[in-house]
Amino acid sequence: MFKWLRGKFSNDLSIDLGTANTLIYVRGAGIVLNEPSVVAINQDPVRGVRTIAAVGTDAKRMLGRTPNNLSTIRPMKDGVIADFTVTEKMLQHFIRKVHARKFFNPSPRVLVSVPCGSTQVERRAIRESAMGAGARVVYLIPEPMAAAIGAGVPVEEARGAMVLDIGGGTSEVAVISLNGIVYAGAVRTGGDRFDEAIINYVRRNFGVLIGEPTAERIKHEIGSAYPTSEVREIEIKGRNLAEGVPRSFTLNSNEILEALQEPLSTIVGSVKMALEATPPELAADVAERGIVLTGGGALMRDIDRLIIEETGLNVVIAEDPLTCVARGGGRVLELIAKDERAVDAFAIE
Amino acid sequence: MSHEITADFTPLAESASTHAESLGAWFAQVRTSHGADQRDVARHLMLNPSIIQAIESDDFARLGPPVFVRGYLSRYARLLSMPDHQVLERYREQIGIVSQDLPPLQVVHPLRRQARTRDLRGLLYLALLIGIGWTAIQHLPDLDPSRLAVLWSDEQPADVGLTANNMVKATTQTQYPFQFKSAETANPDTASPPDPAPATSLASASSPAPQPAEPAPTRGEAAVPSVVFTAIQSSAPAAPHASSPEPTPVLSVSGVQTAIVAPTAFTTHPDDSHSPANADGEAKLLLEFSNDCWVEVKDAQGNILTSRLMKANTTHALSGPAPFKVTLGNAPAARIILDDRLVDTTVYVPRRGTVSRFTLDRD
Repeated sequence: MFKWLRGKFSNDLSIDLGTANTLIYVRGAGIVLNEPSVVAINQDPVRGVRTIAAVGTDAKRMLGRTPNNLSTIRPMKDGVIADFTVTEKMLQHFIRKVHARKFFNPSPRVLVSVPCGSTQVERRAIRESAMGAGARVVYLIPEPMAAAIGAGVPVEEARGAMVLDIGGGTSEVAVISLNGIVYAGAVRTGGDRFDEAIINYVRRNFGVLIGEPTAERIKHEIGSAYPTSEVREIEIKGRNLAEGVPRSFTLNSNEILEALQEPLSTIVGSVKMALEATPPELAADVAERGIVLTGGGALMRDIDRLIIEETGLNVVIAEDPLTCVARGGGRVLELIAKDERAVDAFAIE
Repeated sequence: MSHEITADFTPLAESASTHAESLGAWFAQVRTSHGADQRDVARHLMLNPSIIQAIESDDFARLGPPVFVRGYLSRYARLLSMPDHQVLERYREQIGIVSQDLPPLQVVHPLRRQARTRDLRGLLYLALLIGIGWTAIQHLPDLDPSRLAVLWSDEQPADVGLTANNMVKATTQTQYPFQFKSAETANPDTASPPDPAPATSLASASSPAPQPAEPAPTRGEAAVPSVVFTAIQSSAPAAPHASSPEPTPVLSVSGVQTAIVAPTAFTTHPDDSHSPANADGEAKLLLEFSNDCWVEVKDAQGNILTSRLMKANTTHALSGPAPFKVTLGNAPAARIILDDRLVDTTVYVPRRGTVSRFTLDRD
């Protein structure tokens, strides 16, 4: 109720509702929130009522370390909503957090990036979730488009540009020209799949069970997508499956590279498929300039070298690739604020 | 074919070359120190040699948007084992990028040019709808079903006789008194001031013997039988003033102001031996009011004989084919006489409020 009035006291937001992290860009202020998409839920054992205990960074600290009455949930899976209610609450929390004024409940215009491979039902769920969180108007933009804009690719030119956005749940590749998407493909492989691959590798080869946060730490510290002469090591601890007691052991980067082979080859396969499906003129443009890498996956060591080797094309890692989608959405919001016709461009729904 | 990049290049031992005068010169200096030419570098990086040439000649505009330039520089720096963050920093300084602001976006598909016009059209439709609705509400009292039935009936011309037609006309003229005035002005000899004219005719109507010398016949030809309401001073004699242009015909009815309503035709035709009120099927209705009262009377054919607010202490006479449908806004204040018989109105007074609706018949 009174959304229009409350909208006067709200800022337009661009939200990168990612599987791993949620980023919020406020028009005119830049990235103001970058927190994990994790929610801790407290369940009353007597009444059975569920309440939100923590959201974001606080909730992520609890991941894998919760008592019986607490559970940590990642409401996004594979780039789309897995738990509608929790996603709505999480968004509501984040939207309120980025608004300093508390007198009115904020009711901003929100631009949310969605995976280009998501279905209409999944998109509707994201829209409804944002509306439920208090948004006045919800725009949906394909993630590769937002990523390309955020990276600074001149999308309005009559010239093809290829973007590969490796997120937490999905990896999306798109060929963009004239403010539109010519080709888009997505695979449900991303950072989460990397973690899962590391957990499986450690369990299979070392007989040790490790948790998701540990797997993520391994990925960040010694994860590599391309073999190099420099071998890095990390000492980790996990529960030995045979003995049932915690044990520590050492992993090196070559082992992690081996663990990541499957998800990496899936991503490279999607890029090759995109190149095959790209019209020849645009393919020539892509060959001339190269592929732009965005998303958290672009931070993996030597992933650009892997794609260069596999495709023979130049690969450019965007500046601050983790925030490209949110920044790109923010730029689009700024354009919409100046010119409403921008809603018809950039494949916005 | 292998694309191993760092095979032929070894890292520099010193970073003194960072003091080269430009970024391109720095790259060229490091490359030559490695003993490689531009073509080798282009082959290793899988780039066009013109790109390497543009970098070393500081012609960054040829390389396209900054995102791609940064990518080229970063890869070139890593190939030559140069610190890429320093290279990128120097690139920013050299081209004058202080912040990381990107060039503004542009919309190339102006598809919503007519959006504002569409919005205005919606407003126009809304205003039109409101106008129609308001007009309908304003004319709601005129939408009497019985009148509509008469107007829309296909059999009306055949069934309704001359008298009835006259009555319908009379009713119409009753509601638009200006027609009466026009009738008066049609005969300037008998013209009288607009207000007293009905009183004159009314006086003649109440006179026992119609006088041929009166100007009324002429007026009667023009004015078809109509119901006219006029206040008459009750203390003055009626007959002597019937032909007088003076606007004060009066009846002696107990000292109160009296209004008498009668068809004009009844008062105007000298050879008309009997009034329409006495004609077959027509009844005479006399209404007396002790207080202000809104009245509506319809005759048997649904013609509205009167529909107005009657003032206190006035008397009104109506005639038309019975039965009458009567609506009284203040029933306790009304006294009704139908064909010289007093009607017991107490039975029509409602339990709550004062509005009563009933039908009066001669029986």
